[in-house]
Amino acid sequence: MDLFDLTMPLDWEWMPDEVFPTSTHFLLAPRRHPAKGMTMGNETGTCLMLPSQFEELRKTTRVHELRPEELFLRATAVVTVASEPGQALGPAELGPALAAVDVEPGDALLVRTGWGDRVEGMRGTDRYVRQSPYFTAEGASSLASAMDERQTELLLTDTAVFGMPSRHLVSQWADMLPRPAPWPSTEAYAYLRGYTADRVAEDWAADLAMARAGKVVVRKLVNCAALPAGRLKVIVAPLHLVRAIGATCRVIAIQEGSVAVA
Amino acid sequence: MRLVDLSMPIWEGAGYGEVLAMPNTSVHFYEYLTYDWHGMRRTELKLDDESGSPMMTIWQRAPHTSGPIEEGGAYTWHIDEVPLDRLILRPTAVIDVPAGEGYVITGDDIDAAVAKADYRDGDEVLVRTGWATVERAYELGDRYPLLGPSWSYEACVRMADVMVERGSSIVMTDTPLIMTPTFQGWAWSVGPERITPRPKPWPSIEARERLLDLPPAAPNKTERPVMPEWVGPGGYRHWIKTTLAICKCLVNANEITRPRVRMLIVPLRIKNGGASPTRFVAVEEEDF
Repeated sequence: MDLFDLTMPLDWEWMPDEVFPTSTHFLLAPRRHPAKGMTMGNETGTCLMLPSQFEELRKTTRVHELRPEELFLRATAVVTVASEPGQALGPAELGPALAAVDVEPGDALLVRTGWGDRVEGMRGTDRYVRQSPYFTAEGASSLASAMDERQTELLLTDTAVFGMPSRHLVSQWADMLPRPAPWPSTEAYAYLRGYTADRVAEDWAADLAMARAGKVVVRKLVNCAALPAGRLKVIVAPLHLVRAIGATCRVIAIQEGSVAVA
Repeated sequence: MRLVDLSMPIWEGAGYGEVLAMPNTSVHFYEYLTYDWHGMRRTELKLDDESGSPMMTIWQRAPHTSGPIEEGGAYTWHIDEVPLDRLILRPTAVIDVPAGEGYVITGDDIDAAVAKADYRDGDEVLVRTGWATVERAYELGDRYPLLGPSWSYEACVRMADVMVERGSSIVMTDTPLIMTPTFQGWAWSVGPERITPRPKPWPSIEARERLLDLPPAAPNKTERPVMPEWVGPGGYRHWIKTTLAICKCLVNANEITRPRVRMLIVPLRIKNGGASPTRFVAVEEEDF
């Protein structure tokens, strides 16, 4: 049995994913510090995000309601979509990659672009988020359809974002020099007051398309290049948060061995 | 194959984060993107490294300490350094110590339970009282950790010895605390000098004042009030010296139907960390 840790470390010195005001700064405070313990967001590091993150889907499953069979020892097919920095992944890129893979009904899909294997080389910069490959709204729709055909709802990927919020957050926030700190900075608070539902829907159209299709997305995987091609099992272990719409998680892959991929 | 989730949920105001002054601080959720304004939800989470069902190594308080909480430990991995094969599908013996509200497990209880268990060399151990369920944790709130069964010093020492003899490295248990509520909460939430109404934990002013009032302790030790002799010592520090991890506050172990299981023990990957809220899932197999 071979085990692969696909989890971005929670690094108290620097997290690569704190660019947008919608992300929370990760703080691991020592004993006797007022914030002793951990402060983080739903999206800190490797994370699982549910459709219920959006208002129109708020009546759907929350994190504590996920059954262990949906997340632990889940049969998974690895799909390779080699990508360039900043590449938009649409139907043209995803279709051939999906067609090349043997997927059994119910398999989760793990789409690896190679981006998550490059995080360490981007230390101290914002490139991990800014230059990440991302899924277009059309790509999301085609991916969701392909997942429907394969009777699955769980997608894992090594991109920093699912959709890139280019309409508002990139130009109005990420391009700012100097760029303010993410939540809970005063600047983030002020910006988010004007970041209304219509703007959210425009920025996160790809994420919303997946959510409307009932898909659960796990992203910011690392170390996926080490995975063998084909099928394996994954463990997706989110923080067991009550009524949350997403959570930081640990993701571990198991290559077939003593545990049969059934 | 059947999966049983043994992970304590994490929610705002969960009892395990409310009853002690320092070691396990409160859970707070702050909503900064909301359905009504943004059409989307995002939450800032303030947790403790002991929130939910924690896995605790000898490096508790890391990364902000220069050393482990005890010298001479048998296992010296930080939580992110523990090899995955020590965490995933670990053969585990279920050791039954039936215990109800307020019961303190004794050394004799451990001996009797070990004798009855299908406990094989190299197994990890899940010590099950059967008391802890998610429903009970929700219903009892902050009374849950104070009312739950716990471990005497002698029980900790005896279990540590047995684990060394059998080559076990990880202990999991469904007691909310390891050391007794009396030992851990004396003069705060338990005993004649408890503070009424009970204050919030650190960083409340009462928790700060408590540290001013208590005898100082070394950076890797814990400040304790003077307690009556009958309270007895705590066994955690003795036990952690011979274990890779002590894991407490598991729930729903009563749903396990087999004497041995394979455990999935999945903490967060905290760089140089010492403890973490953890997911525990038991894998039941017919032929195991």
